[in-house]
Amino acid sequence: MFVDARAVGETRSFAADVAVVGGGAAGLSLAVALEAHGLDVVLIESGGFAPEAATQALYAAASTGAPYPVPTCRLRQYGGTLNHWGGTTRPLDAFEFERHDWVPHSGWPIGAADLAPYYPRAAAVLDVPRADFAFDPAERDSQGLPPLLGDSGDFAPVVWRRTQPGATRVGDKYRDAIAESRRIRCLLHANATQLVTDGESRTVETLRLGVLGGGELRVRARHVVLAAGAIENARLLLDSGGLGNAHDQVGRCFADHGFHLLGWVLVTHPGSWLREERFMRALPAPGLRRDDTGFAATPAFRRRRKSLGFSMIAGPFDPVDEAGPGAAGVRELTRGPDGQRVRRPKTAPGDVPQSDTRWMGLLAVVEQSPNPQSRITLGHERNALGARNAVIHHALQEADWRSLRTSAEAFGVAVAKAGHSRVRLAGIDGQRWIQGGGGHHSGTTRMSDDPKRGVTDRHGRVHGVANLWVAGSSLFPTAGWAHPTLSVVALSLRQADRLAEVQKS
Amino acid sequence: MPRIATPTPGGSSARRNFLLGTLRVAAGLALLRPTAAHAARTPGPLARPDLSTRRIAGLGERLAREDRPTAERLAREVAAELPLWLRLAGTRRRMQAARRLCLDPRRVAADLDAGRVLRVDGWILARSEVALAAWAHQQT
Repeated sequence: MFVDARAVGETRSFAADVAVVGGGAAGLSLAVALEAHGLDVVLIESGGFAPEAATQALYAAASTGAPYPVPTCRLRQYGGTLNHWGGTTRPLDAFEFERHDWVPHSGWPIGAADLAPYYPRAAAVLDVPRADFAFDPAERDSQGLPPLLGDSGDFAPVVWRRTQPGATRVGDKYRDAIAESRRIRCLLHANATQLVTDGESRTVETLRLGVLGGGELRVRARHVVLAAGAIENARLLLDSGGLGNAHDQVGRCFADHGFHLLGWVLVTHPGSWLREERFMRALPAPGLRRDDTGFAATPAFRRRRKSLGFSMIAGPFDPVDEAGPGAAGVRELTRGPDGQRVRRPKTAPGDVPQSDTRWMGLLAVVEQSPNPQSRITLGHERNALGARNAVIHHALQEADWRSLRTSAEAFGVAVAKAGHSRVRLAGIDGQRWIQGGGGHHSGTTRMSDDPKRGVTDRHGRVHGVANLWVAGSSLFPTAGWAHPTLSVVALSLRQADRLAEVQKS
Repeated sequence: MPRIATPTPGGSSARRNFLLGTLRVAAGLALLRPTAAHAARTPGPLARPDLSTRRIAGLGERLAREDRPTAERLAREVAAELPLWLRLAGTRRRMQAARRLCLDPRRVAADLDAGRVLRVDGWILARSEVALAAWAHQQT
């Protein structure tokens, strides 16, 4: 059932087996899974069913690092930031869970096998039509054509699935079920302001909730799960007396995927893979939900070049380059045999680029290395509920830029070696990290079996606090290059099983 | 900028004219067949037979502007590799010879495999391709 906190009254307490803070992808999927285990859940959501400026303003934060799109990178309403999700996703590859010697602070305490059983279920939650993500060479539109990228082994074709029929809004999907649920009470317009613990901070006893316009609620639960996103999870822990921060780990290693419009790929052979529709990302539009296929740096390449996760997809993108692809006479190089000048096809939203495309933009999604200096802290300013605002210090390292340059150039070489296309790069030398492109915040309550190296254990339970858990991508020690939503939901489903076990025991 | 010597074809003796003419025809025939076959097999942006000297030279011009010492060194290397008798054949023939020399698919692939890669105006190119562009710029 839904309860509007504004209508509850002055003070009221709720009790439940589990209190979940945040009604986004992590929190909603967790709540629904806990209900299936027979547990009573209070789901605490700051917003309502529609965006509200006053509620969104509670996310005010200062940015002291690299420029960061603070106002738009997260949504504070029922359904969470998934309300502007594009619906593109895929699981983390097994390689991403491993410790990489060349990446400090890398390595998950769990392996791919731990999440594998949950990915199909997560796909069902998100309406991803196919739970297999392997590239199938047999699906090539045309046979007998040049190989995709030669035999370098540096880059491999990869598939991103898109939710069907549109970008799934998990809030909408479960709204009726929650409304009718006897075990889930979703408090709307209820803002978690503080976790109140026992004297030794070993157990959360009460969760305080503030309501805009006045009023305070309290929730007592056997277990509390923070599922409010990587920034807010850290902020809430820090603003609750530094809960879980005995080793100064809360808020550190804040990361986001870098989205880069790297340049262009020029197609020079009629049999190029780039002429296949699936390799050309369509502009988003209603009714057009085609899976995407691109390329990612292989583990062998990343080991050899000591690089980070790197993926690439071609599409009708416009890389930022004032000169444009025809600069300095090079445009002349791009004439076809018929003398026609190479040009980008005219596309409108929803168009699939036509097969006579000669050049396409290249979009890279890349991993940011864990950086303890990239962190969330508390500012001195307070929001309308008296809570201290977050300070976002997004800091990149030379390793991030080096990996981007190395991978982009190697991709260009692989394309050249294949002999059917050429790459022109732009904008990878100017230290332009296009932030917040996906709002894929991660890393602020990272998992580790060692309390000195992480905030939570391998199940997402906060070290040193018996009944406090964290859900969502803030658990990620590293984020790889894959869009994270599927992994976020898979982790929540796994955590629900664990919570049910703990509850029974 | 050092330039490749380009002696005027022709000489005082009829015998020399005849020999040069024969050489030109032979070289042209020898170059035409593999170039066409090569283009049909593995065309790349710089390997197209339709690319004019001017177009390739545009890239060389860019390189010369960005990194003149490198452009000059690469151009000298190409010039040194060209057989003496082809230097006498005029711009078009010299260009064909240089194209064949630098854009041999095996040579381009070897460059790429060995990491002999240069970025000019953003283009990821094999070193031999850039050398051709640098040399072509000097010729025009």
